[in-house]
Amino acid sequence: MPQPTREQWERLYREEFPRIYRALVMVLRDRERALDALHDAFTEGLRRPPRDDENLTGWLFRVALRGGRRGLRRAASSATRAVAGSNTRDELAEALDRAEVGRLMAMLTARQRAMVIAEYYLDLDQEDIARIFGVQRGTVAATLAQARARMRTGGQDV
Amino acid sequence: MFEGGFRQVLRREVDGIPLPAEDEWVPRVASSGFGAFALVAGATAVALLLGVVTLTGARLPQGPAAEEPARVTPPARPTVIDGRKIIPVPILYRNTQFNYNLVLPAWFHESEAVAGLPSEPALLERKIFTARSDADEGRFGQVRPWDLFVEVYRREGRSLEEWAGAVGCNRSGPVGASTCALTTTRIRGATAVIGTRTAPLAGKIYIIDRGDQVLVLRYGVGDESNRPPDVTEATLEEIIRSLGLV
Repeated sequence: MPQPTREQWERLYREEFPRIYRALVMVLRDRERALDALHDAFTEGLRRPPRDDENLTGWLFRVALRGGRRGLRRAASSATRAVAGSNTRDELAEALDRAEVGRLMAMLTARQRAMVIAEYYLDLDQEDIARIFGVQRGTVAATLAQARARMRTGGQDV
Repeated sequence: MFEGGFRQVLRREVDGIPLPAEDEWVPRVASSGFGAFALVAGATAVALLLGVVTLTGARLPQGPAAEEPARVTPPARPTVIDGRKIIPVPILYRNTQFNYNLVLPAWFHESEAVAGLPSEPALLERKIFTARSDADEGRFGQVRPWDLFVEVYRREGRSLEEWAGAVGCNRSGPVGASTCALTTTRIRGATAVIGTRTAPLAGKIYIIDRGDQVLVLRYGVGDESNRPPDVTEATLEEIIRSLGLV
């Protein structure tokens, strides 16, 4: 995209925030890391905005996921610790596990979870997912197939 | 089997994950360093306005009592509150004439001392970004340690290496020793040469190929007595790394 102004970038970011945040919570199973990762993506977008031909949802997910995996935490997150109830990883994981899908997702590796969320929740196609993870499209297809197979062992037809 | 299919159930459950309050969506503070580029959401509009005022010389509308509003220099600086370093919102500087962008710390502004020298006929534009106060700037002439120079020159058929020499990367010192080492690289997809100078003023020079023009970013680091608060070589490098070519 052309270099956006801060206001333009913030507007785009806010439009995508709910979906990307929730997707990250599902993948990282940690609200603070999800929020920190999205903050990193916001800042990165100010400095180096996505290219014209990039899917914004995919770009935010990729950049945030990269930050989230590094486990970046900022002291700044103290302000976010009151967000949305309990905040520890264990409590969140327990809540997710009580959910039908959350229980199945817990059976997957982080990479499988991320690809499942990218395809089923963010509606990214396999080409976009391949770009996000820096792999071939065939690898995405294989990973998703493995994820589905693993979830089937959990008793659900996926 | 999920009623309605896996996709629908997944969406329903994921959409049920509570969101943070909206004022938490944009980053606010960081634990350390300009590199973290932490943002204070509540101060965003104010800081941007300060940035615009500072960089463009624009005036804020004032009441009748304020006939001559003062220029806002310098802007807010990092502050430590309760042991945590609060970094003000950085300024996005856009140069629409020569199509580049920089992200500057909030405590930087564009210097008014931007005139070229008669010996620089190829100079199309020079911007100097500084964290110094106006009074402090007055102590310096053309050599301004700890300030960032961004210049655009007509290429005039010269190589990037030749331009490096022309803007201060002299390859030999008085006794023949190399005082500036050149490396070739790519920056934002453009061919570039980086000169690392050790004398007379240590610093770096970035020469970036822009077709029939060259974009030059350079700075020198002087002794500590001349260093403005909250400016280090890492700060200047961080600004250069933020460069966007449009």
